[in-house]
Amino acid sequence: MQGIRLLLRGLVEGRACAPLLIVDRSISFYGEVDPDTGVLKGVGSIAGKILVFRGSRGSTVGPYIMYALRRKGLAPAGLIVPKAEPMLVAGAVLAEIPLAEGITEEDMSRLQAGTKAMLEVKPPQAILSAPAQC
Amino acid sequence: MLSGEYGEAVRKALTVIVRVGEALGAERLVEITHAHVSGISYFNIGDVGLEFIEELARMGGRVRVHATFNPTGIPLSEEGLWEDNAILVGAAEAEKQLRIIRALTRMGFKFTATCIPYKLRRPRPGEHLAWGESSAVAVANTLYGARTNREGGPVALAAALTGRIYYWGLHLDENRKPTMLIRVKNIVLDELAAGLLGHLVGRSYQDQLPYIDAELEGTRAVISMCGAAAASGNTAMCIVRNYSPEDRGAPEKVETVEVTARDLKAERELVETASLEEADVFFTGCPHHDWSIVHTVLTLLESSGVRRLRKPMWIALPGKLPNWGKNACSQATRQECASATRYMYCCVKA
Repeated sequence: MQGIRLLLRGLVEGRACAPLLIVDRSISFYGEVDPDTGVLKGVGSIAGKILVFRGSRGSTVGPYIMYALRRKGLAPAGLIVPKAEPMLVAGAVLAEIPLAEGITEEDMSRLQAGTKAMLEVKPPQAILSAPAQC
Repeated sequence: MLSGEYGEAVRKALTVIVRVGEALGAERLVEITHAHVSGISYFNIGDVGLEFIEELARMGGRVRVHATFNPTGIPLSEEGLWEDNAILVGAAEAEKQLRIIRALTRMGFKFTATCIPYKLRRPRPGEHLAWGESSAVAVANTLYGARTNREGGPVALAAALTGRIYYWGLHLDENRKPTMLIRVKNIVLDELAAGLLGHLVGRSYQDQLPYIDAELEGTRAVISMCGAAAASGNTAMCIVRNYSPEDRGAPEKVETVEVTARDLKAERELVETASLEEADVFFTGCPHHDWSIVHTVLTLLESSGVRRLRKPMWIALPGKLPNWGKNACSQATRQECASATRYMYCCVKA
């Protein structure tokens, strides 16, 4: 993968250096993510990954699931979506996970799963660089 | 409030709201009249959620507005467990569920356990709310013209304790105008058809505010459509012709989609996972039905001469509705169901 540096909109402050996990669909944290194992249905563990996905949907229980993942040490290291809805923001605030939005479809397809990346969020800005050494 | 002069629980709750509001770009907060909190079932939120809610109660949290909560993981009576609980869940889990409810009622929440809070207190047009429970949010905005975003469980809880929410999204006039037009011609949509339309709309048109130019058969059909659209996508509001207080006629110069009887049939094939013959149990009531559905079902059975059901049927009803006596559902309903259907008809509170 060629070096990529994306300028995104930062929503929840934080910094993460972790492998990218790309999920080309929207996710319902409640129902699709097991809070005891951190496993996303059909994908695998999201723990410690920078999760790039299409967006969140579904139950308003979602933020508790994200909070539970954090308390158990199974939270994703970072979250990147095209557009964040309030529930995802609430979950990221409670679970203290850096969150950025504004990734385009094209940029999403350029990212390679497993590549180590750096996400730095300082609202209103965020930068994703991959590959990253850290 | 942020400085802690209203107590530690209020300070913590407001901090959550302010941080989420800031991240979303809200410029200020707005006062609400009713908070409805989802995410209170122990089976959804586990020990972590239980501790979160108990901690707020321990810190002296107290609701500042009318506050209600969603269904729990177990059927309940106001006094404690419902008698059939032991069969449904383990005693340890049931006790933890009760701890969540005790913490909520200690903070001043009304004992409700329902996903149809609009049946308890009818929202007024233009009123600001902070509701969880996706289907109720869609109904509040669409059918009652009240204003609420889909709030996550902890945020709605924080709003109950502070009486405020961030002024953003569907609280603002400019975000409540239809962005597309869905047209259904020559069909009167009953509850089932309206549900299928909602499923199609929610699934296909996320992040839109659809204007529904269709003939819906009563408010129950509107509720059915809202529930399905909220479940299959993230629809928090539609404008429905002749029902929504904010209906100003079909919008012009927006994307227009015609939905035909064939589309609805295809949608039905998509959601139907078992034939009537294959089904082991029939369930209705998500979102909750109100009491009248029980009478409708019983009347239907009686008028069709059905004396005995071959498969059990479950109807989910709220934990409590106005004018219900003590244990109204657990006793009266089941007696009524039992006598009408010879014990093959099982009616539960959920």
